[in-house]
Amino acid sequence: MDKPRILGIGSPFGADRLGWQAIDVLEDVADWPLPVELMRLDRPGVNLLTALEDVAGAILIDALAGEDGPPRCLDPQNLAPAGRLSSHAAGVADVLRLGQALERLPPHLAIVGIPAEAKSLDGKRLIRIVRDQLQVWAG
Amino acid sequence: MTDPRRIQVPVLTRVEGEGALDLRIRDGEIEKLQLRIFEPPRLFEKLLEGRPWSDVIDIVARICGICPVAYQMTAAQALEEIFGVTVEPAIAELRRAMYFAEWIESHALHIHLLAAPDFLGFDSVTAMAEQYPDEVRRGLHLQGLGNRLLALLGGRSVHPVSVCVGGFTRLPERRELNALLEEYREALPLAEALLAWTATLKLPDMTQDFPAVALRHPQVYPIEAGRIVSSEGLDIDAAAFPEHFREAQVAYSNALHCHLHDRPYLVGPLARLNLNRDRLPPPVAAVLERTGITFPSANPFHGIVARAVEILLAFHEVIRLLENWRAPERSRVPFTVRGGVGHGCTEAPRGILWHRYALDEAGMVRAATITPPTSQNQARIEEDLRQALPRFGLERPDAELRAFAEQVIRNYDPCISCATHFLRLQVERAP
Repeated sequence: MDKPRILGIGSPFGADRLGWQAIDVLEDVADWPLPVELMRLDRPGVNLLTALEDVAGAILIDALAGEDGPPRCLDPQNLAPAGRLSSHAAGVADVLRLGQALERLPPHLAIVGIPAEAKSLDGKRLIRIVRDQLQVWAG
Repeated sequence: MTDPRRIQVPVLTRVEGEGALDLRIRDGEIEKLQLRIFEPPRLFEKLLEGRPWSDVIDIVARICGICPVAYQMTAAQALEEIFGVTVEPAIAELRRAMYFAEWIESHALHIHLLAAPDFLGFDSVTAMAEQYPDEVRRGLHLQGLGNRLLALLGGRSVHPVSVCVGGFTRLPERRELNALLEEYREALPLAEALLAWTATLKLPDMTQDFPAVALRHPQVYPIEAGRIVSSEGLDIDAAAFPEHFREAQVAYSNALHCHLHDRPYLVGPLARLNLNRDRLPPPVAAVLERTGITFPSANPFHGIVARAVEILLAFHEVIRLLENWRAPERSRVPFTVRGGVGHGCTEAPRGILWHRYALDEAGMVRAATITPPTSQNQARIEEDLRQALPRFGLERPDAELRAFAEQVIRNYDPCISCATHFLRLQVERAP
């Protein structure tokens, strides 16, 4: 697989920064099973679909509101759309449903959630999750 | 007299914010219709008081996630009036291009996420995308181009950071503009096709009588500058706004209602196009003419066509502005801070946005007034519903009535976070 894209979703503020902090952690890792492209996305809304174009695989990392514990993998099929896809609001789950309808999602997609209530970001656990996923894709 | 029948309807979907529509029908007529906005006031104007002038542009950008540029440009205009700043032509051109980028993004999202699903009978763009994938892809492509230009000129697309009093904190490199320019040229046929497509949508036939209010510029289609005009002969500069427009509290809503000479009025793309049809560049006017839809239009549902016209206009204008753009020697002109009162009025995607600031001699904000387009359209939305619902048929089942009312409201794409959120519909009516 060519350079999977790892996308940290967030903004510069509060717990919403977790997706970007995850990329900070992953940038320090040199020995991934595959060459990867790391990106920080600032509240992308429907533009998330653009970031998912032209890649065979992508890992999305986003904060999990109201949850505690270490980072964990989420099944894209189990994400609950908020149903508020509008000109002002476009959550990750809603945008992924739209991408699915438009057949614009990469064939391989993984989602990692970082609980926003955790006292600190468990970087070791995050790296292990990402590494395991990349190992699967590397075959 | 019969007792009114009361129907509870849950949440109005795909509208920004939280509020409710209360409708009471008695003996086949609307007895009460109130658009209730119960989102708490956000108090941005008070938040600005006591802060330095230099905080204003960044703070007002946070009022809205979809039209921050409108807030920044309007505030910059008002502050520049106070400081006696005239920006260089190249800066004014870049600001105009940046503002059009916001229009492209906002209008494309409105058309494809709100209006088109409504008119085609889908409950969401996701459902629509299964039958109209090419149209949705086209819309998202155009929206994405707006977003990218905004990110380039603004430093980032959400709450951009580059606009400042006197100019920009950073100017783009020529090569950065060229790369996007080529994509804008390639997308022109897509913007033309979008306009033609919106004109084929089966829109409700709903002629209404309403004053339209917009900016008007002596040469070009208005966005960042112009006088405030109306379809009924008003022609004033921004400073005279309070003499003609009055904001008032209504007991049932946390957002103010604004009236022009005691009447509701319309702002936004339809009002702009109705008042500025002759300011369209010839290539845009030609594509519009081919659609067979004429403006001025008295049908509020023609707002979707007006938005598509403005997207095509925006592509032409961005190409024109950026092709000829030469970087000035400095990104911003120097100025001296002083006290005074300044006004700004520009065309946000949803209509005119008016600001007034009073600064003391040290440049601290002593008073701020911000009148966003949604609060200006609120009374018009109520008036539209009062006219449209009886024509749709008050005897229809609640579900149909509710869906149509939501459609009418979504047609305005009200940003209740700006005016302060939305919407539960409660209907009471006689059995």
